[in-house]
Amino acid sequence: MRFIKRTTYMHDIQLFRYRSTLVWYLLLGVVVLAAPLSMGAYGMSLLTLVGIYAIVALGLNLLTGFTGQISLGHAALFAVGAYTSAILTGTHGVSFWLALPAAGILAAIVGIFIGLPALRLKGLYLAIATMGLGFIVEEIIVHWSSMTGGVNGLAVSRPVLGAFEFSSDDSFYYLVVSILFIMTVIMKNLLRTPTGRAFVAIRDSDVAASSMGINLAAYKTIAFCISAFYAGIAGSLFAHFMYFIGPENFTFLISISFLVMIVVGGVGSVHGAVFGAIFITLLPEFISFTRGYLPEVIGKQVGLQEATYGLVLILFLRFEPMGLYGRWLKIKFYFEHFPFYKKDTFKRERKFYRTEH
Amino acid sequence: MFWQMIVSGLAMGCIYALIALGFVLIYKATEIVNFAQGDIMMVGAFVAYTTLILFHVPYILAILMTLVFMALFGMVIERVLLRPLIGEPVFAMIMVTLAVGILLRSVAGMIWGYETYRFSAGMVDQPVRFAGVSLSSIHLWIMGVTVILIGALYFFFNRTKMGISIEATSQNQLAAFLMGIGVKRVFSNIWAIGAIVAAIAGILLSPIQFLNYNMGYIGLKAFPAAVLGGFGSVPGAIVGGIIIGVSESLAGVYLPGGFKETTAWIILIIVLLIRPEGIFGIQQQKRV
Amino acid sequence: MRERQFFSVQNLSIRFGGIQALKDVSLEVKPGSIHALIGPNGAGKTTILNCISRVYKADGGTVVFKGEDVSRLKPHQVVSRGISRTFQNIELFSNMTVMDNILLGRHSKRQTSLLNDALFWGKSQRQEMQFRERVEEIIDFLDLQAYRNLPISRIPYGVQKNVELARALAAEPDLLLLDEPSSGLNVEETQDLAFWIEDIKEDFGITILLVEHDMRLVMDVCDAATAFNYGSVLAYGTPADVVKDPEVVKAYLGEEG
Repeated sequence: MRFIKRTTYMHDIQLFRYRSTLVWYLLLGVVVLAAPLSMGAYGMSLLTLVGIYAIVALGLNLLTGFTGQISLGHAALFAVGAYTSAILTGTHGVSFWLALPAAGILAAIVGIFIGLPALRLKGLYLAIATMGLGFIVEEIIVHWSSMTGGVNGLAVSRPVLGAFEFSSDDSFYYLVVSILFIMTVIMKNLLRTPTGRAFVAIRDSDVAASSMGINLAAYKTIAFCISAFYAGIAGSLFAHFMYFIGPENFTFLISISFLVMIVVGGVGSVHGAVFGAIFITLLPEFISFTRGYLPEVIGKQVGLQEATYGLVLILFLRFEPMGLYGRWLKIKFYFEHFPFYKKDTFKRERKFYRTEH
Repeated sequence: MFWQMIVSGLAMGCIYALIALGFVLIYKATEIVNFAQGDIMMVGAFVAYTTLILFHVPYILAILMTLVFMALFGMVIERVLLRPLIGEPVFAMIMVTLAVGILLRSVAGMIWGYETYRFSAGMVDQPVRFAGVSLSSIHLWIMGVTVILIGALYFFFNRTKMGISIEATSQNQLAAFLMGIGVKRVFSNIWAIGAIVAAIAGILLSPIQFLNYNMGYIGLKAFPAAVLGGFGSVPGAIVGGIIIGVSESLAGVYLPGGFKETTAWIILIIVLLIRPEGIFGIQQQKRV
Repeated sequence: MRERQFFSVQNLSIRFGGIQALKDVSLEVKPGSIHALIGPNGAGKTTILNCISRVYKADGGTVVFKGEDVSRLKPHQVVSRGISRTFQNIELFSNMTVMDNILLGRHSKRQTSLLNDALFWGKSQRQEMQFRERVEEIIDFLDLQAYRNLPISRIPYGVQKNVELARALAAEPDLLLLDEPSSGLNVEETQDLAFWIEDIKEDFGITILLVEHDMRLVMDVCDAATAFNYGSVLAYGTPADVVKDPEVVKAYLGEEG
């Protein structure tokens, strides 16, 4: 076990509480920055996708993991970001560096419109309303073809900075990594200040939260807006990375896969968002790899990936509701406190009350 | 034309009403929102198709077998997947039912393939003249069966012992438990009923739409129906379903492309804006 | 001319379905006093607190605090006027640590914007330090040092009640509403509570309105008491007078008493 002598209140607030943690993160930073040296083009494109999805998962985790609201339509907000950026840079010749924040802001505005009526009510209504948003946006993409290219999709170019074009996968990877870094620091900052605490308070007890002076509707809306903003930024990056976007990139199943990311990674943890993004990006690779080894009846199935999503989701919710990050914490705790590890240490509180009428 | 669209909208509305009814019953008794209701409906339709067309079982027997199978199917889902999660946050519950939906869809694709089947479920489509309007007999069948089913459920919940204990549980779980009602048995029974209602909806839907592993998506439109009626209200689910069905049918004729598919969701957002508690809604408050 | 009142409730009424939970309830709390609401179960004591803190919307009547009508505020605005509360069945943020729970009590003192918080620079950092300093003082006052960094689900019930009290104190209220602070506490814990309640009045100058069943505690620490039954006021006065009031005795012991 480690102890620290606190000499200032900053000790409790710092991002890295121990010097060793800082060292580990610096090491991780070096590995992330050096990745292009050892990875092929395909590996790099996977890593870039991990970064983009991690931004969505960060935002969604703020909404779902920390504030306790469910969005079944994050693919739609992701789409709003992607199309905003694609149309602004493509049709109107706006610079990517303006289109990127615009994508985030527009997604947040769409988020307000859809979220506002539902956020006054129980979490379930937001789930249903965002599901509706998902289907409506999908139809808009298909039918407003003069703007979105309809089912034919839309071609998108890579961003340019001065004379430099982010055309290589390595350079785009660095762009995504730096934006992910900024977004992570912002998230961490929010979570250690009154804003972040208010979000968690709403999740745990809305009555107590409002008696502490937290305006429930306002904070839920802010959480949803920030979450939408993250999805919009990620959407913009996605569009410019893929060179091409179409309605098939933004279906209901994509919304679900975003949720799978945070469940698998760890609901209510910043690390979990990254773990989840890695998992979801690598899962299809893993499945296509194993197809050859599976019995033919299963291996040849088209729906194998969806089935795995479903199965993984059920298994995690049932046996490891804290996700990969929770598992990691337990393993770490086990070694740090050996041999005093008790299963109950991580036992969570269950609530058995029903809404009273 | 107008009246034909109204009637076909009514028929489709009945399907929405039945799906909504299924998950509202489950929601009232267990507080679980079942996002897999549409996919359970799909499984029901496929089981009926398999017994009836592939195994050539006589009609009545095939339907009975389907309903019994689906009842057990609902019970198994509840027992294996949902009961272990009682007490977990709402989020976990919703995610599990979504996962069940995805799993059912992909497994159905593996078993029955990904093509679209034509399945009349023994209903003959012939034009019926009624008050000068030409209607499809299938639409009338759907409405008839829906009315009978709702009547049967009403009888069940008000007159039979099992029905009354389910009703009691949905009003106050603890009190019901203390009165000696087996709450666990109530949970598994309500899932059985929910699955049966879903299966009937699936059998009725197949002749007017298609039979496909993906048809469960239609079930998602039952959510706007339930919100419109007032979430958690049984009459609300029925009325909401019918309103959604009719509006959708009219939107398909009078509005440009894309509106038919989104009518239900646009109605949902309007309802949330102006009357979030729905037509028959009750405001709920937590006691501290 | 009536003198300006510190805190008063006038003609408060609320109805749940067929039950008239409060009927024309009026009461006044003097500044710097500890005022108890007593009465049998179901008398409507907690309902009064819930109406004051706007968890319930009263059907009629007003609540005046420091000259302002606070009975039309939104629930989250009440605390910023200087009224904070605890709950009968603990309503803590169960997945957060004791520290974070108490820090949340200071939410109403927040000065930073969302942007400040996102950057966590200057003002936001200073505010966080100030919040923590104040919270440490409250932790010392209520002897919560040992539990500081534990999540709520892992601390005993009696301590959870203290954390609720600490959280309410962190808001630096002028009026503190306590809903059955001693329920579920053992004898020793109740004695500690009695001292703390008196200290809160003496040291912090906070006026306290509490709902309480433990008559010993009421007699020991309270300056005034109002007795209720069936949603109406039965008697008002010093605790010693109120418990002797024939109406009150009848309400507690039945007609024969």
